[in-house]
Amino acid sequence: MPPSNLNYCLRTVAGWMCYFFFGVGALLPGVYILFLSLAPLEKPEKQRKVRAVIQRLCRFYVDLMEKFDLYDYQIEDQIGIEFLNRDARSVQGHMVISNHTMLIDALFALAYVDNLCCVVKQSLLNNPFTRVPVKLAGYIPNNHEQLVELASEKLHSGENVLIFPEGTRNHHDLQLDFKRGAANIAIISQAPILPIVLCCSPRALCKGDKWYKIPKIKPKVVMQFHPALQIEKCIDTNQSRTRQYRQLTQWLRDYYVNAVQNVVERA
Amino acid sequence: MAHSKQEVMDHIKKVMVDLFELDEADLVPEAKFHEDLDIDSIDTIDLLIELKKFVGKDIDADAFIDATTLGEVVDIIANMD
Repeated sequence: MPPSNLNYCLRTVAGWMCYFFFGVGALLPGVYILFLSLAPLEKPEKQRKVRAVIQRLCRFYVDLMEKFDLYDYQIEDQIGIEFLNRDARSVQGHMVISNHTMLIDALFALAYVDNLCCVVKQSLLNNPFTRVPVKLAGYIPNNHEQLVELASEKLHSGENVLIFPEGTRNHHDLQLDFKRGAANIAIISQAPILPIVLCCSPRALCKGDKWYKIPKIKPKVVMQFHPALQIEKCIDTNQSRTRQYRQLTQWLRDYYVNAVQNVVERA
Repeated sequence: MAHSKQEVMDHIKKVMVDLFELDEADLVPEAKFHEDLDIDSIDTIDLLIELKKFVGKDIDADAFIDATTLGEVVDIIANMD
């Protein structure tokens, strides 16, 4: 068997093992979270502890996949200078946004931003295995009637909230179809925006890909942390909110097209 | 003060062009808020607030939010007078 085929076979097996570890690896923190749910602690304390466990678990997953040779990843700043210490970002009250290319984008964000709240599918709250952690972590169900107000409250109380403005994974790095939800939350909360740019080259774990399909070439994932954005520096905030929603959405889209293009051209 | 359907329609068009940067030609009674005009639930609340100023009294928010076309909103407002 040629070395390249052998390497591909080994990485395919490694990929399956990773999925196995995703399931089994979640059991131990799952039991801990179950105990936490019964512990006589205040809700915010439980939430903080559960999010810390989820963060460590996500960090374990993204590092495990790298150790299993499924990809290499690099964390860097806006101009591509690598952060050699892979420390998580300790920010407060920031709306964290990211482009959405891979199945595991949220894992990277959860691993590298402290105290991060997510918007999750309602089905995770119906699932008996995920209901307790999702509830204790204070995540927001995506069908919540007052999602924008709730996200805004969380931002004001110092939590960070992760939003993928595209809503779902894209089909092409530069075809970014931003919905207005992220801008709605940003305008209503007036929270600073922390942009994360995620690129995978060649693209992998895309929308429509089979979860077990391992790319032939080992991909490189780049995760960029950009400086936080203040809304008033992006758009004219003296106009009506409805116009601000639209203009901020367009501004963010243009920002990301430019940022992603810079990363893709370098890859 | 009572408003005719045409007055309501003209006012809503003006408000929507101003609030949502829409093309007036697209604002026909059959236009669907979500599919045709890209108006989401947050926009609907802002539109409701603006239209309350026009009619000078509370609008049935549930009926307003349930309305799917521009023509239905015009009917709700016109029938209040």
